[in-house]
Amino acid sequence: MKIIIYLNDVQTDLIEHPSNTDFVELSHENVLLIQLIKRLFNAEDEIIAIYNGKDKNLLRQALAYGCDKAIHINDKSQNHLTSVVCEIEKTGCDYIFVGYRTLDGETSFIASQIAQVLDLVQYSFIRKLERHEEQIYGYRTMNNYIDTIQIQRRSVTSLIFENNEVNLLNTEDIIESFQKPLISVFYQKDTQHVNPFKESYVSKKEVQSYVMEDKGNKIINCIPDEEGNINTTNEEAVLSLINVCKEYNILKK
Amino acid sequence: MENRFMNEKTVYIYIDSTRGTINEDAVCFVRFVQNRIKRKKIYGVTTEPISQWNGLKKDELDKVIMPEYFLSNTYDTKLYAQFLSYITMKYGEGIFIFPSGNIGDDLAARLAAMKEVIPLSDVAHLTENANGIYVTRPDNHDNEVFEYKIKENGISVISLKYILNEKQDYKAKRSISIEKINYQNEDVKEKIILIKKEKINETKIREKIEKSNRLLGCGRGFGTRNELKQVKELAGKLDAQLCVTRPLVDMGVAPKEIQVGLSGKTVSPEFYLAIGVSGSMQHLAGLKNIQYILAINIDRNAPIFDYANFGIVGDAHILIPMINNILNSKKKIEANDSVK
Repeated sequence: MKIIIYLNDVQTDLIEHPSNTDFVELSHENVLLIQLIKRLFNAEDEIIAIYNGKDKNLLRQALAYGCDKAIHINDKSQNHLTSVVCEIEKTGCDYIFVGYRTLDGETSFIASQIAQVLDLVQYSFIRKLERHEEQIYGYRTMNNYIDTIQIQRRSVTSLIFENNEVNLLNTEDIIESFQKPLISVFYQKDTQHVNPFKESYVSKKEVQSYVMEDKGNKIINCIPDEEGNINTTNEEAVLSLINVCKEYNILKK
Repeated sequence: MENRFMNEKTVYIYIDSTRGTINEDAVCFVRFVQNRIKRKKIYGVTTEPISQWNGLKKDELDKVIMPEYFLSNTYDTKLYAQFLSYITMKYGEGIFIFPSGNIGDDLAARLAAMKEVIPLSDVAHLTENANGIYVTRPDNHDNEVFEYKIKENGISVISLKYILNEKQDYKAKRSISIEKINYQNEDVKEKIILIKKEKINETKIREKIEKSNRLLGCGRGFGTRNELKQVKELAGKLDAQLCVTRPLVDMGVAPKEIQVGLSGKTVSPEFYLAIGVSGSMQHLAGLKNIQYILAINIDRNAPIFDYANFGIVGDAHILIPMINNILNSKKKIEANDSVK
């Protein structure tokens, strides 16, 4: 059986990792996803990671966490969906899994788009997967109901995870990841590609005026600035904050 | 002006429902869109036959289109999107507006893919003037905001971020008509197989942050599990709820349900205390009409201070436990009051 996991990266400047070269990291959610799929399927099933972001090394992490094979898509055509779908079709698959939240914007749409282009059943908002004998079941919470769903073959499943601890990598996993295949595929720039929003585009707006009013009120310093100036002590700052809360009726006077 | 009305497209608003009852949030969403668009034809679309209207009034829409029977006994993206696609064939192409968030984004993406259009996701502002409908949408990676005009030909799919507790001042009067469609799509052979459906115990349902008037926001400057515990303690004392920025969700420290920002919820509390929140545009896009913003951040150049009523440039690791201690001890507060 072939199981595809579509991966996304997240920007980070907090987590240090040997493969973190471009300030992107395999998201926590994707790590959980790989580990869950690894537990769910048998050793003879092939788990393939697909990623079309900028840092190929991120896939090395995916391999270390348990994927058997990784495909990195270098897509200059700007038709990201087409290249992903093309790779999935070439590889062939029984199940496709996508993390739901990973990145902002359209990337949370990818499950719907892949499912539509390949005409597959789509299981959204799955929070838990279980396997009983040969059948896989998904659990999701929607509008105050918990649904138990049978996950069929040839389907796209998008998962949302509750907080869970990730099992960290050990040296053996990292070394082993270098023996697994990491394939790069290239899609050339598509000169015919037209930005779908080009016709609709009107203007670029100022961020500040868009977000909200600049209130520009009182700011106090309780750590020294470059010149060593300090407005107030920590205690005074805290008491000022409490007084402001009282002023706004957040705390009782 | 007449010509414009002749050419203008129908606006379809997606109305979310549960087992035949319109969700409370969906009523807010309809009114949120209504307050911004004054089209001649505004249709509500549901994917379930509606029996409970939950406060949606009979004069708020021109038409409500719904299936005559339940399409499925559980949410099925493919089936629901095909029903919506069928509506555009029956009632004409138009602008589909979905609430940004779980089901809205999911359906918007599938419908857009079905109709081979690119959806405009996470739209933050929607306005209409004499020239047409305009939307503003922040760029996901850069601190830039772009404005687009919605095309008057073909289908447009939008997912719109809305505020749950916005003041609803609906004025226009329309006369609603209900259209029930006997929809049976035999093309969908593989439907979702539901094994079991059970109601969640009421006590387990998390209170929505969108409805809270007081929020405490944590960013990656103060976002480990232990730090969040301290903020939760403070939230309890201030009768507020906790929300977080995206990095904490990505790191798995906090659940998606309490994420505020471009890819999370949009909130409009009266009071917002930002702890270790830098104030990136992506986070601020989820904050609307806040009366009081207080901020604690170690970086004096953090953009959040530009928007704060009161800010402390300081170390939250020292300040938060200190606030908790002071609030724990009423005597200290009284002593402070007497000094003042």
